[in-house]
Amino acid sequence: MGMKAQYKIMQMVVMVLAIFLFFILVGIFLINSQSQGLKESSDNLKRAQTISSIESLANSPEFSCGSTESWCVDSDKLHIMSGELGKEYSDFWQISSIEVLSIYPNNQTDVIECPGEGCNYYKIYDNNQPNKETYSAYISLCERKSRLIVECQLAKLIVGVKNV
Amino acid sequence: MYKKAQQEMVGFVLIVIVVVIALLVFMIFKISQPAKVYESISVDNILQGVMHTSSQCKVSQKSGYQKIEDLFEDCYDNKRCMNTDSMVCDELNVTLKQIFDEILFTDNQVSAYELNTKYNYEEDSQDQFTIINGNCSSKVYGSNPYIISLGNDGDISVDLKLCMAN
Repeated sequence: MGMKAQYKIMQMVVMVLAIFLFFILVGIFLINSQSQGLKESSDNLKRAQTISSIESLANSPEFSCGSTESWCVDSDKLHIMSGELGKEYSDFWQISSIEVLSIYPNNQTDVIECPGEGCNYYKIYDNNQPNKETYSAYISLCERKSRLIVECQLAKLIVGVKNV
Repeated sequence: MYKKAQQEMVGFVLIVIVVVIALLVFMIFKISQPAKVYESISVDNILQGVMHTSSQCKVSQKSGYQKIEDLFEDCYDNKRCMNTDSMVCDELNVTLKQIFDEILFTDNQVSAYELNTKYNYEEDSQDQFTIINGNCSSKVYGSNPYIISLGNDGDISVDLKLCMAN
């Protein structure tokens, strides 16, 4: 009789342990999925902040088309800024680099730095920071052909920031 | 004693079967659900950039190249491109495909895209065209609809979905 009772107790202990383990596993699964959602929203927030910072840069008087349209960069201003003038601004922007890469229309398979024929890449400035991370957003790179005609390319504004 | 052991075994097997069925139902439910589309400001940014890009189509001799956004309106009006002598709708389709293929080629975060356009008038909605390319094995991010107004004729809404790595 004593043996049977012991056996019953053991059986119950095993059962309780199994249920306990089962709920632990379910808990781990739930915590994991919850933390994934949290990480996702943190990534989204980070991405939104980055894009908003790039938008402010694109809308600054040094680059913007001057219209009410946001994300519009004037290609003539870009030509000027990619010269010596861009370097003068390095203290003003306090970022590692600013580059613009034309995406469409693009007849080149290689990256050709502007100024130059068929160029598709503008380096505004780069302080050659060894440890930097780049973020980018899409812009309209527009050129005023005449009083009424404006033509726009799809381009990417790439900003480098110091990796901390 | 032997009969009781048999009864316990049957009970155990029943519990295992119930758990397996519950797991199967859960798995089938998970698999049959359509892929979740996450909202992303990056996709809105790409769609806005594309809409403001100039095409290779001129609808009148004096005008410049039409923006993609304007081509949707011209396509609805069944216009022709003066410089290429093709229908605006064909030109729009080709240009959008070229732009998104270029994004696919240059942006290593994007592995696939799907662009849907819908014509809306009052309560009615009619699909216009869809452009898809690439293979998706990561998360799908979607844009807010980009609305192009057609005045009293309703509007066209454009949706973009991108398969992007984090």
